[in-house]
Amino acid sequence: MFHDFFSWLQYDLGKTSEDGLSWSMALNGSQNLWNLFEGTHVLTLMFFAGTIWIIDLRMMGVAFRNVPFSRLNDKVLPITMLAFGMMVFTGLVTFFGRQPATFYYHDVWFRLKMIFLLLASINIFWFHFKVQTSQAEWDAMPTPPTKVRISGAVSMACWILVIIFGRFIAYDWYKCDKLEPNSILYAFAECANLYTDGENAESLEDEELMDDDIDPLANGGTMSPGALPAAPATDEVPAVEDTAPTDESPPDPDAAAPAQPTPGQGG
Amino acid sequence: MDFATFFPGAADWVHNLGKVPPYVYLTDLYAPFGAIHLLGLSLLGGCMILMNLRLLGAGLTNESPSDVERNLRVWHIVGAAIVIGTGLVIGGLNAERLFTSHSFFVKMVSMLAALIFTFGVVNNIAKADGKVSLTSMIFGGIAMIIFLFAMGVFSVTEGISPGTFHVLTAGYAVLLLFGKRTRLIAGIAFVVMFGTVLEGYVVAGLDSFSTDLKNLGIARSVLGGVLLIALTGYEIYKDDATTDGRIAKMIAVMSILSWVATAAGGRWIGFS
Repeated sequence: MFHDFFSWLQYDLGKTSEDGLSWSMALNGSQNLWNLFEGTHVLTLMFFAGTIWIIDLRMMGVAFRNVPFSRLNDKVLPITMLAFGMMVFTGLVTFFGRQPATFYYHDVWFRLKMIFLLLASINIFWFHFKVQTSQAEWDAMPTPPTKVRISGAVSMACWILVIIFGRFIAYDWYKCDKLEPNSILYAFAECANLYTDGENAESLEDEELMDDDIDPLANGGTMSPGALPAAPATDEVPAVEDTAPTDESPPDPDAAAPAQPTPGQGG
Repeated sequence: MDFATFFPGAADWVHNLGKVPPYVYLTDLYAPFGAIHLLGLSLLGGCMILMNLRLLGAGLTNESPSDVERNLRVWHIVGAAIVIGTGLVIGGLNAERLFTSHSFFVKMVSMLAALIFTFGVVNNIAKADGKVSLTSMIFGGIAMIIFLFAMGVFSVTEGISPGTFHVLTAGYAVLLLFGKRTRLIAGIAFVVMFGTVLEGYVVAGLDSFSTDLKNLGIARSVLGGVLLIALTGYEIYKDDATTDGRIAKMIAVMSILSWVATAAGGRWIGFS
């Protein structure tokens, strides 16, 4: 649906000459800039999800039971919102700077993450406009009514899934080149658009995206018009997610250690 | 600086770690454990920020620090248990790489400080509603030295030093939340920190490997760090007339930043 728009972001926005780089590609090839934004995205997640879960736990009647919901909510929500603002900003930059059309948009995990992000948002609106209208009745209750507890549980589950799916974006189990054409997941990720778009399919071949390694930076690629900047030295490779282990290639104790074991990527 | 430097004799053990139980059975579960690790970190982060902000006089100010501590205790412990439990698995599956990783070294040292702060100092201060015992002071001092050592390594190690950006910006964010007199400056500094990162890349023509950009980054970090310490110190000094209060606030700031450094160190393992 948005493939053309994200392709424009990835390949054209900010490109001033035929041989030049778009902003997205320049960011992708930067030594530290993308890392700084992605790292901040993960760190703000720690503060956003952590604080919203405390509110969710109160709604479920399992934490701060002796504190009225409004008192907790009024004090914690500003912190949550500050972290949320930073998380969205850094998330957008992270998305923009790592091949939005070819890496993220057609990724199954990314799409699942977006779906649960949407569900979490709907739940917030449902809570605010439906459940919270009767807040005075249950505000001080140690165990709030069922609808409040359900809303808290839905919120918590949605954010847990958003984090898990965000983390899984790093793995290439269900990248388009690994999916069976005409399978449900292939259709879900709109993989056909990725390969039938002439210009981008050509670029994909240039970037060797059809191969197992998604990121040419991690693959030692070279800069060419329309492709990505020259790869930094091996120890400077900023890409992380693309070298993560997969279920096809689990960490082999006899081989080099698997990449990226840390808390990080996605979220 | 890495663990291989300090424990060269452990190289063989580390090399073989992935081949022995339980790790040999867990390789396929690497990804789920990594995701759960992140969930644990988020839960721990939420509890940690609320607890420390309370000691700083922000956040849940309608409840006493001991009330906040009591309500958060179980979730704090659950978060830490998840982080450590899953960390042992994903760390063991990647031991050889981590053994020579500077960033992992920073993460572990900083985590030691963070754990001492959280479970040995902050919780005790909160239980006593802000009163700082001699034991808390001693453990707080030890944790502070460990944390400053971790930050020193983080700051001067080639390849991972940009990760200190996270600690500095988190410091400004914390100041933004608890500061009364310096909130505006903290807010501006927070925006400037991010702004100069972007501007630097524009100045250097988006060539992020330029020396000018690197020098700009170092200058930004040094200036940002000095200003942060000055503003936080001033805020704490002016905000509380009692020695106990000032010490508690200083420990709370350090506690937050030590967890941020732990998470940032972990993230930069993948980047370095």
